[in-house]
Amino acid sequence: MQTTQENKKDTKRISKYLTFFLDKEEYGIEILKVQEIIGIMPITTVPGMPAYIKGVINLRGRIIPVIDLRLKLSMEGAKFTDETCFIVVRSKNVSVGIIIDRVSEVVDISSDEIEDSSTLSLINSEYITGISKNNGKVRIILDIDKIISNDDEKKLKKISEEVK
Amino acid sequence: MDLQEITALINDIKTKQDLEKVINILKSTDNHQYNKILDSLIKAKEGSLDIKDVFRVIDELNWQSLNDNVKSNEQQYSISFEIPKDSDRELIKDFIIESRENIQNAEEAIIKLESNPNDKESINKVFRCFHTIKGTSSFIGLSFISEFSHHVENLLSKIREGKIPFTKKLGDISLKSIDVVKFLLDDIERIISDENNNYTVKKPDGYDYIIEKIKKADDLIKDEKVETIQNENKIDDNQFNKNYDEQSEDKTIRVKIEKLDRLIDTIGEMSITFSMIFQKIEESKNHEMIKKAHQLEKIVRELQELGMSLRMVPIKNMFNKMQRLARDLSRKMNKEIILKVSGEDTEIDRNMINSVEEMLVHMLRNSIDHGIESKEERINKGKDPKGTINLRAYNADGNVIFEIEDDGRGLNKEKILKKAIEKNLIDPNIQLNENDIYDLIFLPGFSTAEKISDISGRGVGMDVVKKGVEALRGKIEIKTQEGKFTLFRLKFPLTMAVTDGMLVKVDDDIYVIPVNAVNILAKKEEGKLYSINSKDEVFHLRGEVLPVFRMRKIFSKENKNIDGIFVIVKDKERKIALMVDDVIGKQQVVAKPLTGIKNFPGILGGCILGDGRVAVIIDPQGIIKFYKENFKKENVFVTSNV
Repeated sequence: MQTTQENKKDTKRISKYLTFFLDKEEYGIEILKVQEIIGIMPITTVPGMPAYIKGVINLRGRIIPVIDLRLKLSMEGAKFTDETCFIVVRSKNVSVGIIIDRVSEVVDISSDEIEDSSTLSLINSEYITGISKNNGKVRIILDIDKIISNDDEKKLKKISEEVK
Repeated sequence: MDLQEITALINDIKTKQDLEKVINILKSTDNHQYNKILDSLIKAKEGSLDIKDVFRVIDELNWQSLNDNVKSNEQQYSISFEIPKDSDRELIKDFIIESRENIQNAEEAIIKLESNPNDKESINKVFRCFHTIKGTSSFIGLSFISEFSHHVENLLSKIREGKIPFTKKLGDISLKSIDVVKFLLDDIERIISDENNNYTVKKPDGYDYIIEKIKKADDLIKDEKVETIQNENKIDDNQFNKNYDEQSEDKTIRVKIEKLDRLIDTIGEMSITFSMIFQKIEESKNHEMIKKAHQLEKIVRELQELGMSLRMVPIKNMFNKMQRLARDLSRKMNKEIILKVSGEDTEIDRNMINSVEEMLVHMLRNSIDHGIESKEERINKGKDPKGTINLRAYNADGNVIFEIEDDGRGLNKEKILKKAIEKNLIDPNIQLNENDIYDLIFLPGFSTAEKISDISGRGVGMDVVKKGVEALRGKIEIKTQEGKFTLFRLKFPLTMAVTDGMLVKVDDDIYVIPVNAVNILAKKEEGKLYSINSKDEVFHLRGEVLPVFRMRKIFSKENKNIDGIFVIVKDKERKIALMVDDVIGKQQVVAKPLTGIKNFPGILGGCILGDGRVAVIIDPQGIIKFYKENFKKENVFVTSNV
């Protein structure tokens, strides 16, 4: 673990992040994971889903699930405003839409500017890669793979393996 | 003393004394190789093992010694080959695709040859295939393949010219060489797709062994009884060339699967978008436009049908693989089995082919291992010592049907029932009818085979098949008569893509119920609604009492007591009444999986409606199953806390 961190510091890997707001906090996700940003569209609810899965949408002929990121991060559920939008992220060949309050900007963040969240013991860091401090702004960097994979995907995988 | 003699000895065992004698003989040979046989014989003496299973042990040893033979021959040669560094990747890729096809054709022809050694067309085909592989591989610099194929070709040309007959052993060698080429192709494909690889291909087991054997082919067949008529094997060279030309005339092109999928998806999207526009145009009352739109509608529909047909592939290759599997397994099990296939030209959705193949492999193994009796048993029962398995495929009522039927021992009702109770899979007090009993073999953890073999019988088996069938929205049926036959019938929808859906309304949402699951629709007035325990309801309709499911309740909607319409759905014997607010209409929908979210048992997938919105497709069987499970447990249908 440590050696990889040192490596990161040496090379100072700079990545682009898409940042957005949930309530008053600014969050960031790696832009490489972002497929597109779309406006609100009608969501079809799917019975039997956990509350944070709001349902499914039609993304140009493909059906993808939509997650209420606020609920997922134990915040109050999203209220739809003019600025609400869906960020479609892609991880392990699964596209998922996440509902966010407002898109902010695209920023370069160097890897050494991200503080490992495990040192911040107070924060529930399950879905958080770290905290970035850059240009005087504090942003929470999310681990999108964990958010959309989670145990649901494991269950899905298990089912498909059983079928095989 | 070799294995054959031992087998003969064991074959002659009739009494306990005989058994004792054989054990003593084996002990006196003091050959540790036979320890396994000795062990199993002693177990048989104690009664903890059936004598039949001793043969299985012998088979295993036979198999092992064959493989050992192959391996010890390997060591004196180099262990890997080099692909030239300057090779053209694309060329090699094409070669692999082409060769795979050739190899498949060759395999099929060899299996045909085995049952009919005088079949000129087949031997030509095998020859042609290896000839092509040899030519192309030497051209692109894969000398190790061309050299190998050269030897095989030599052997084949001897057979073709009638110099040597096609015997069982030669069949073995030819099939084994096909395996070698397959292995090499797989390896090469893996290596060239990885930029950083060092271009070294591992030499497959049997490469040199086969070449050696081929060189000594004349010795190989010396001690085999030859029944072929030599002269007939001579072939006309003109005929050969003619066939060769015909084959290369095949007018097809290869297309990447991803491209095809994208094409089909795009057509789907287009037709959805079109139907949205079409609605608007019809509303506009502009006759000129409406006329044009109708024309376009026809074209779109045709395009859609064309797209669907692109997904369909014939199952020929799959059936060829079954032939090979049946051949190898029956040899291994020391059973003589004829696999008759029909309907190789039947087409199924390309996306289904892999799953269907897996299921059939599974079931074929079961038939060979458990279904067909051993030779001795068959003779005792007065049956033909050769077992027959029929593998059929055909289309009926918009479904693809696969049947696998063996003339073996059939299913034993009592044995199944006993086993299921023993394993605590069912409640012994419940009365089951015949079909229900047969269906027990689909329960997870059920396996009647007394012994675990490496062919089948690990206790995972038919339940996997069942799950697979259900995943493809298919059905599985069993027909059997003890001592006579077992028939498994798998029924699949022609394509996974299009479903006739009934659109229903629940609260503000629209759901789709597959039409083929719907029995009838009924209004409340047509029957009578009763409530039980003030929790559950039943609907009494024309002499039948059906449990009622209010969809509002199942899908956790606001429970207004709207008396809507009952959709009666059927799952084999059981019928239930789903209550929806309203039925809107019928529509063909393209079913898509809901990826990325957890599976809820009552949901089949999603589809996109004419207005672009997504609708959830309900799986009535899933709901019935869900009901059964929960009903058993607490006699209450749990809905809200799923």
